Amino acid sequence: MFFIKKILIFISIYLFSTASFANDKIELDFMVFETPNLPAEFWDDAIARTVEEFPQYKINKLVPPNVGSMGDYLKQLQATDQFPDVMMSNFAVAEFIEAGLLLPFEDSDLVKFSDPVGLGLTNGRQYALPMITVVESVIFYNKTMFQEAGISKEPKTWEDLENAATKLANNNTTPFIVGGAAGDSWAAAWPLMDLVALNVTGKDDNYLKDLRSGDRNFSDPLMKDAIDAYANLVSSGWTNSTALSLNYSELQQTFLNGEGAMYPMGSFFAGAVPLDHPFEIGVFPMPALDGSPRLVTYTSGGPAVSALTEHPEEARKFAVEFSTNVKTNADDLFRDAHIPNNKSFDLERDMKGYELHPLIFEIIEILQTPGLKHVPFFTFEVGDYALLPGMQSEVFANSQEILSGTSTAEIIDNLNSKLLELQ
Amino acid sequence: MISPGLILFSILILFPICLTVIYSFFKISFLTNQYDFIALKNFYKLMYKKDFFNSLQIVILLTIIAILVSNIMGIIFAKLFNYQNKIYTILRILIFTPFILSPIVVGYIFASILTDNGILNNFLNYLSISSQISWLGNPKYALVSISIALCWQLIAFCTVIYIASLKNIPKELEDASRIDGANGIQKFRYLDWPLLAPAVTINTVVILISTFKLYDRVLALTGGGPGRSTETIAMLIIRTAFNENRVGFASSMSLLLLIISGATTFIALLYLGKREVQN
Repeated sequence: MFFIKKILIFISIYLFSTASFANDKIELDFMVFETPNLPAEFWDDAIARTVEEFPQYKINKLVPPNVGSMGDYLKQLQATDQFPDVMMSNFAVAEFIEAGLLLPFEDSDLVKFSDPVGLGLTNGRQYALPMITVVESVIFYNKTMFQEAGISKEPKTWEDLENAATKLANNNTTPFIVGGAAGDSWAAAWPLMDLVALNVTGKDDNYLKDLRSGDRNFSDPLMKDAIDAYANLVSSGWTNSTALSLNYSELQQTFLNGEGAMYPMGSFFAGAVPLDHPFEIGVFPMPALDGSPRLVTYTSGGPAVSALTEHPEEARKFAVEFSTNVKTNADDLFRDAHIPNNKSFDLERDMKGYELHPLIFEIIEILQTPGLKHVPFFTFEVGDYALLPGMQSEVFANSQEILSGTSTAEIIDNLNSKLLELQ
Repeated sequence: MISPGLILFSILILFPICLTVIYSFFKISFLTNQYDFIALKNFYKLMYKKDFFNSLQIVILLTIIAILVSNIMGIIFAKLFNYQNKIYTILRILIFTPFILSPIVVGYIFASILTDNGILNNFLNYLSISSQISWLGNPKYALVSISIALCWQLIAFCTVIYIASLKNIPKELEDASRIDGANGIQKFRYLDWPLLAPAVTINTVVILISTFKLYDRVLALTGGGPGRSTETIAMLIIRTAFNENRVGFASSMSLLLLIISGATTFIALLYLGKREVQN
């Protein structure tokens, strides 16, 4: 009896002390994503900076197994009642918004952003803070290889691009470095997502709405042309044979090792290029097939807040402070070439002490080129323009099929079958 | 009195199976908390789902390869290492080591070996065998690569079972076969092989069950790619449930997988069990 009393007293003291301790801090689970450009150190520093403003917050950092599988991982967490309070919106947010899992931000939360709309609004509300802008449809190129192949100007049209590829191939140079294996199938899909955004969804404003409602499908001539363009790069022998065995990190390194001339990727690649890299790298926007002046951009990527959180006010405040912390913006720009969408951010003032790669300035110049129509990144759209859940993964898988030589007809058939199944 | 074992079995095995059966008649999304009764519609759609039959084909092929290669190599290693000697004891430990590794670790090990610039291609180039084979990136070779990783672990398990089985063969029968002038092959054919029947049954059933639910190794090696060329049924089920938010449809696939693997295992047990009795 004496021992039982002792045990009960101990348990009571323990429960009381943990409860007291828990009441001191507001705990928020915050899901981030770690990549070679944005390692754990970046996130830890950024969180620490934000918590300085809110010392009563305790942030538990969560990291998904793979940056490409953030959406799937969040679904698993939601199914097991572990949905984080705040999460970086580096995934297709549309289905989470539709499911009522994300909290809309107030207008007062958005006043600090230069472009508060960004990727778009859903029912007039913003669900993911438009923290950064990424230029998605750029092609980085090896200037030395271009010179050696006799290419004196950056391609301005798709015909120029194909001519450049021909010259490079004739000079025994792999024209394009593309790929993405296993969990990085999104990287294999990058050129296709750019081609579709530039030539289909960015050209025909109704296409995605019609696709969602079932009025149109992937047999659309514009879509066929976009898929054909990617397939043609492969069938012409202009892509690296290692495409389907490289993960994202290896893909990036393959280009940096000088194993190919052109690398279509998002502007964040500029953050991975060392200042003293052995060869000079240039960048130009991917041309549309019809030569129209379009650029695929993505202004979003900031934190989103869970509608299930026990601390909605605190979570929103944390999200806004995290997104608009100037030092975090500066670090993000330096590491991953993410252009801050923060009104308070000043490039000259806030980047003192950082030696930015010239590529980043070129990308900012491309972004600010007058006359370029900015179009959203395919598969990341929101609201009425969002793809059905599961369709993005199908696009990624079929991009790998394109790289393994599958015909356009079969790709279209696969995508249409999936679309019918999901409707 | 209900035994604790039965309670545990009910909670961990029976209850999830019953839940899966129930879910398979519904259209369910955990994301939107949607539960709509649709009767047999999921099963009807499943009959026309190309991906499912593609994955089933992959799993059946892997199962056949795994059963043949693992059993044959297991018997060979068992015969080779079935001696009482310190060296052979060490060899037996080494041969069993792959089996104690986690499948996902095995997947990552083989990913580093089989990648284009990995150990295998570098070794082949060193031997002046020019190898530009993309073991993981080419759909034709990706399945072979998965088989290698799978068999590497299963051979270890089979070897141990066969060694144990060989040790149970009565010494008198071995002596009698030697006296009768049987050579090695005759001894294996008329003595060892028939008496290894129970071990063959165990190994075959374990391999069947392991390969039908293959997930982790493939995830680490190819992620189901390139495209969907190595996507197993387990991967398809998880993708359908979580990526596409179709838990009901995924449940119908799980149920069908349970029936197929159960039926296959039952037939294997029946046939191999008969063989055991005959021997």
